[in-house]
Amino acid sequence: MSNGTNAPPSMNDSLSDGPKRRGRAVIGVGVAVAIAVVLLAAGFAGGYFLEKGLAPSGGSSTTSYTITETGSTLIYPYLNLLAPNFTSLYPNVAISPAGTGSGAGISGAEQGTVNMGGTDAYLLPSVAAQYNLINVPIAISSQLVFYNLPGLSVSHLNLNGTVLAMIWAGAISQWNNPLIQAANPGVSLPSTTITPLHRSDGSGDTFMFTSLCYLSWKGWSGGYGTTYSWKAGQPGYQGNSGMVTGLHSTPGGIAYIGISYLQSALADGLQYAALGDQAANVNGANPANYILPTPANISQDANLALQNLQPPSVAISLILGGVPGATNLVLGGGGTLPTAQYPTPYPDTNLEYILISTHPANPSLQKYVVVFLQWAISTGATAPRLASVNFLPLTPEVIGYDMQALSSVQVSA
Amino acid sequence: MREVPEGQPIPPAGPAPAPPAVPFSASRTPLVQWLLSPIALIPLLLVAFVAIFLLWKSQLVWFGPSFFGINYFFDPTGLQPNQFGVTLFVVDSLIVALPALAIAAGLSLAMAVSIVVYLPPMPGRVLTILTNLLAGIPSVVYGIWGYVVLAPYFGSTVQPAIFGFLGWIPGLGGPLSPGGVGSLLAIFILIFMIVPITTAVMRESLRSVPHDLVEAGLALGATQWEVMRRIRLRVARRGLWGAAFLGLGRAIGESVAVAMVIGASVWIPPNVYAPSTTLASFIFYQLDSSFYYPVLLQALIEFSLVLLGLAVLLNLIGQRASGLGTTVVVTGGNGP
Amino acid sequence: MNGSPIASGAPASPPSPEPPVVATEHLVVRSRERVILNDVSLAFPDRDVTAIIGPSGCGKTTFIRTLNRMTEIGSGLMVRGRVLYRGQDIYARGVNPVIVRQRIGMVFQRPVVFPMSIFENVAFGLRINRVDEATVERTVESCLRRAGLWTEIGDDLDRSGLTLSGGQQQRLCIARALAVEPRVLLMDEPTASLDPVAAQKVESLLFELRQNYAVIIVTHNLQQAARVATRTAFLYEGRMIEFDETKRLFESPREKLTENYVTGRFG
Repeated sequence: MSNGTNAPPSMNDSLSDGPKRRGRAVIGVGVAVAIAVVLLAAGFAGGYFLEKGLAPSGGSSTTSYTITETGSTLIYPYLNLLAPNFTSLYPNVAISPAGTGSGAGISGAEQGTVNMGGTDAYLLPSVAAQYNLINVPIAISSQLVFYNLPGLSVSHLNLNGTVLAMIWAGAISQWNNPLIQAANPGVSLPSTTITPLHRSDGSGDTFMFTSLCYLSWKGWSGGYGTTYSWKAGQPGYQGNSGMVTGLHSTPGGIAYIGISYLQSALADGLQYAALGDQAANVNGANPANYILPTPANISQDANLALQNLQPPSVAISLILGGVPGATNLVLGGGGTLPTAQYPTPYPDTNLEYILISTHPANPSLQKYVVVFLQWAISTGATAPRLASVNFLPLTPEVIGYDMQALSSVQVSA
Repeated sequence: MREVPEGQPIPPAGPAPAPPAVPFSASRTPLVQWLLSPIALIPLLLVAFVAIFLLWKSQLVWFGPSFFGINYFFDPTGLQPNQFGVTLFVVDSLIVALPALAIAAGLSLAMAVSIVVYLPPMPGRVLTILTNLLAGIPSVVYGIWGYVVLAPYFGSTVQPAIFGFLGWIPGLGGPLSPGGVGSLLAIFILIFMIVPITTAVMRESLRSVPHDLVEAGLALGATQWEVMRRIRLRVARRGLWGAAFLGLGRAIGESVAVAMVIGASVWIPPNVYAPSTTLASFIFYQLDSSFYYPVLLQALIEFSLVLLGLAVLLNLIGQRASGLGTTVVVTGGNGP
Repeated sequence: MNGSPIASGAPASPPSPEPPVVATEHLVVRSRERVILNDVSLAFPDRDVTAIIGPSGCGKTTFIRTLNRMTEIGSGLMVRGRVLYRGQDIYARGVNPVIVRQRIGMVFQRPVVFPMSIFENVAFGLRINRVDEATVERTVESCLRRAGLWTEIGDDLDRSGLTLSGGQQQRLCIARALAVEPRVLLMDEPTASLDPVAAQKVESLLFELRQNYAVIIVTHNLQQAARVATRTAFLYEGRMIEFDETKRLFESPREKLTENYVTGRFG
């Protein structure tokens, strides 16, 4: 009530318990500052010990190491699988991977904030040399083209690079387009509008896919890269999982998706295409020019390129099949393929890379990085581990290249 | 004086209000005041630090007059000239933020009016807690909910329904976006993110209307609604506008959740269903690629500067208008 | 109470020529913690000024707010007993408090001017009743005249009401209350926040108002009560101690408590 009998308590405060309150406030601020200082100190100290590889607990005669990795979300699950197995062999070494994106992997490796940078797209050899980095392939991966078109009479449509490029460029807009029909004789195609999906985030998959389009169709403009200026109005999704989810809810949609997501895409009722090789871009009607992404076909593709590349290089983003006389069969920063006749492999194949420094700040830690990678591309790369992420083992040529490259890394002061 | 309940999602105000002057007793200046006074400068320093850092990192690359244009084209291979038109993204941001704000502000006003006047204390408090809870949900959760759960539903049901009923309104006509991602979904998600801040500020603005004025209105035989309409809303007008500006700042600044549901298509969308983009979400989803392409990184940093400027501007307007950080004195009247 | 003998709040109604316009019967108001008004029965005649006096905290403001149901606004007070307006219980089921307040207007201790023009301040109650514009203009003028403001500010009605002096603001509030055409005007210490000159103007206004309205005024200024009120009630610790003609109450009170209060021994 407003009879004025109850003076607002605040009026009395400054007289009665002011000093006490002030004291409490000072103590409160003091405590808060102290806590912040202690936390910061603990954080820096922890980081320092991790950096130096000194276990704060001490007592062990062997020095402990933590190898940090950041980068490609495609490599991340595989490294996560390898890490505990490696630690069980080398109890003093822990591997700490993080799936942040290929760009972050490259940037982290360049700036030396991590010991390993994972990326789906190679770092240009010239840039790598500038930062004393090497591209170390650790597995073969590939990319599938999925579509949401239920009720077709075939389980895999035939699509070639030219058709795909035209779809994403907007030159083909309906599923019953004559070019698609020609590649799929006898299949009754609906007139549904094609909705091509793309990755909104920076992505090695986008790098691969735009490379395929760039190499397959003269009309493709805007180049290729981890990002691309897509035709306006096409929907973009975050990550491969976003692509799977988005395609699932987009009738008539088509999307490029990393092979690691094969199972989840199939579980969502999506189907994937047989892709045409270079020959299919010339003669799209020949069914023999379309290849399914079976492990055999993918391995064959990788082998083909890596056995024949001149000069030998592993800086490859995309390995297309070959036709006599064609150029640009391999897009890469390394060598070129001789223009000879090759068998027809699965064209949308690439390597997964780990970037490491040849002149590390901490050579004794780097010794274990090298040991880890040597193990990861040989005895560590067991069939079940690779199969769980749909990667394929490196071919002997690549392993040989890797071993030689790793031997150049400075591992002692 | 305003009372701000604990845990309320009021964004950090500008520099803290100076402690009241203590005349005739300067020697009794509390120690804590000396400790805390420099802290008032921290927000200013932080903003200045971020802005200077961005300016330095962008190296002030001049992308030409096209930077203020509405065209975006980036060729990673560098074969074709790049165009980084920031205006395109500002326009796209507004296309999403303004409708979201309009709807959120309406909802918030209704809720604030209910809480302040109509609801008994307990349900009012529950509603307040629930709206505050919305603010506590990380935006990535909204994003995942948006693209996993809502997007298919928007594509199959919501878009056709809105098109069917309101398709004659410009901007609500076809074609639809089959996967459900696009401006409409982003607007929907943003409403959830704006409502807590606008509701909180509107509620406090309405509450800060002196009780005397309300009583005087009621004593003249006005109903609560009439007092609300003719007195409270009038007196709290500035605060309500402030809430709207703060909400707009929130909407324009949101990146993660919007990136997940907007569909990432760089253009000015022909309708509200189509995939689009916003300045903040574009910076977010192009970040990883910018590590590959230095020129893209510089463009993104300059985009960030524009975004920072927009956010600071909207927040300053909002805070000034809503009286956050200052005492609102409307009349000489004192509450009981 | 300290055990001092207090007369029970027996119904007391001094002789009056007309039936009362407002009356309370065994009014009890309590908060969660305590009883604020205990069994108060009073009757107020029409066209007259009645004063309620008593020391701070005696419940006189609560009492006056009970008379037009202002107590229900966010106070959480419980009201028992009856408050009659021309024989109708204003707390009865089905009674709309909004209508009650249109019949029984109120003026507060501090002038509460709405942040709008002088004209709109006075027109406020008319606007909510959707009165036509011509009537609004006429009523605003007549109310400002009755409140003695017309000669001072009649030519400048678009000015913000907040620019007026304190005394003018209080008279504006009275004009605003009159515009709703109430029968009863409740005034809660209407001059307490005013300087003596302004207070005097408001007081003399009361003599005008008593021609047409029942005015119930709460005051702790005994001289004011003596000057303006025909009858005066003395409240103490929530009880009605004595209610009589003002002159009698001040000069020959029946109760010892009243005598002590009016002679300034406490309060």
